[in-house]
Amino acid sequence: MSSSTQHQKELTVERTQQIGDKTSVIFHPSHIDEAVLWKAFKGGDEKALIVMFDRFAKALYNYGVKIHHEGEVVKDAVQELFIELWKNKENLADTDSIKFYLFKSLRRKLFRIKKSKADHDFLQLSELDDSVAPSHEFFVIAEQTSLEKRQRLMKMLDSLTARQREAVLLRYFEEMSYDKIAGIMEMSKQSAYNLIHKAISQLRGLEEDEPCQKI
Amino acid sequence: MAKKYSSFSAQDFAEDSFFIRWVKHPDEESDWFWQSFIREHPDKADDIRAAQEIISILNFKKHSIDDSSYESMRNRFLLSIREEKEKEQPVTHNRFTLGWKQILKVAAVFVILVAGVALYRSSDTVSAEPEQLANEESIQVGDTEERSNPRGQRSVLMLPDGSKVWLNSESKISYTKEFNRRNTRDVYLEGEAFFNVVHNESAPFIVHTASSIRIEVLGTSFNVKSYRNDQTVETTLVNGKVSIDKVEKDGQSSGNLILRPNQRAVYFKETNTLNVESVNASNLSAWRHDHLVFDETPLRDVFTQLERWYDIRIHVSENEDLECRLTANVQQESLENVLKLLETSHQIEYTISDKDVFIRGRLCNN
Repeated sequence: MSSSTQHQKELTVERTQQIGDKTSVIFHPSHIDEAVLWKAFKGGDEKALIVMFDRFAKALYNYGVKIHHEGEVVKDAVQELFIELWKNKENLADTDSIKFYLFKSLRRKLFRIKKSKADHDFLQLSELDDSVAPSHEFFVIAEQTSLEKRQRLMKMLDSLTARQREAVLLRYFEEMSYDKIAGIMEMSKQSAYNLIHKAISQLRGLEEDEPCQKI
Repeated sequence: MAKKYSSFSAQDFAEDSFFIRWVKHPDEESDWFWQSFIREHPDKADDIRAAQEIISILNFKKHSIDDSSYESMRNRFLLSIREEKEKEQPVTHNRFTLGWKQILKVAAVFVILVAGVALYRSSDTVSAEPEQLANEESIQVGDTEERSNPRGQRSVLMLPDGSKVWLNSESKISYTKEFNRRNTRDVYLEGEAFFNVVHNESAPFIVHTASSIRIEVLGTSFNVKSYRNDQTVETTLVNGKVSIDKVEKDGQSSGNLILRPNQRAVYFKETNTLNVESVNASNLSAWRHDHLVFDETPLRDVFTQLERWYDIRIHVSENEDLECRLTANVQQESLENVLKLLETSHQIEYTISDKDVFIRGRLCNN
């Protein structure tokens, strides 16, 4: 084993800090093990919290926007999430997947925000659900797709319910296990399987309905 | 495995973890598997293609915040955290305290553990070594063996377990006579040494230094620099893989860092911070072969090294700026020749008087 094939590139530094005339360089913590990071954070190390923020905030925002839709609300929610995390750090259990815990917490938070808005505006939760954007808006459709194919794809994607869309995001985009998806979406593992299965067969079904047009 | 796949529908493929991973992150192994599978089951080709298409359709838009929005979100977050911290502690801090300080108690130690296979190659250094280095007997003090080098001298010694230690100038190493018979192999280092440690999983090799830094290895090649008067403790890894753990007094690990070959961990004593950087490890341990290697080294450190190497005292005027850098590779040179080098590079004038060297001239000034 010669010097490892990975990690040949320069380590980037998180930031430099001037203390008098000495420049102190803080190491880049991208390779810190999650369990250790979590423990350090629980112990009161706010640097660990910042590492967690840097590692997960963007993905959380991305996920939040797919399930809640309002960017500003999600931005605030993500921030609040980390601050609440810090405030409660002593009471938190150990976890071996920070990502899972954060996703689950954000989802709960966004749901609570949605519910209080529904209560406030005398709306049914279901009225708030898909009221904003159609499903296909969340997906990237390849540029080279013909107009006809585009429309077909949009139709397929719109046939997905919000929950199916969310489950599909967690499975195919965030690449989470069924266990984790079940945990985040607060359902049984079997339900998670069924949800994804339904989503895929929905997409398959529509595909099969279209007449085969070989160009 | 191919057996179950031969009865899969397009839907089944689209839901299969291994298949999904291949579509999203193909690698040699999965590529080989699926290409051969398609060749052997041409009837499945359409289903596979359909499944591939479904997976690629499920490509979500990244509603990324643009960089400046993210930065401002992050800054707001940092401010909130700072406020929270100030609520928690009535004492206000002048600057944003770096978290490690909270974790480390008075006598915290870094424990550097080696994971992975050791690379002790006995051929590596023995033959390449011109044994110009002094090779005296160790002194025995009670039941401790001790070896020390004054300034201007370097030596190599072998420990009872066969590990080899190159000791630099003005350095001292000691270990107990029972070294090989305990379940840890402990050495105490003051100064600089390069270790080639024999692999022994049942007896971790531990280097103790004066500043509460402990380096624990299983078997590898690395350099430790821990001079009492220096501001830092530096560990450079040549071979193997090292995991650096921050350990509190109660034995709890509160931080973890992995050091790879050609990386150096520098611990700043004053600020309690740890810095990891990519380096040319062989440059940094070239002193074993009687090379002095300076790679963008500040002149201040160059002089310190020269003092130890040649057993001299360098005098420059107070307030002299010595922060500019020198890059040079000096092999088995006399002091005079090194000073001549500095004449060219930094336009110095020097006077040697026994062990005192007086240097003036342009140095770092423009």
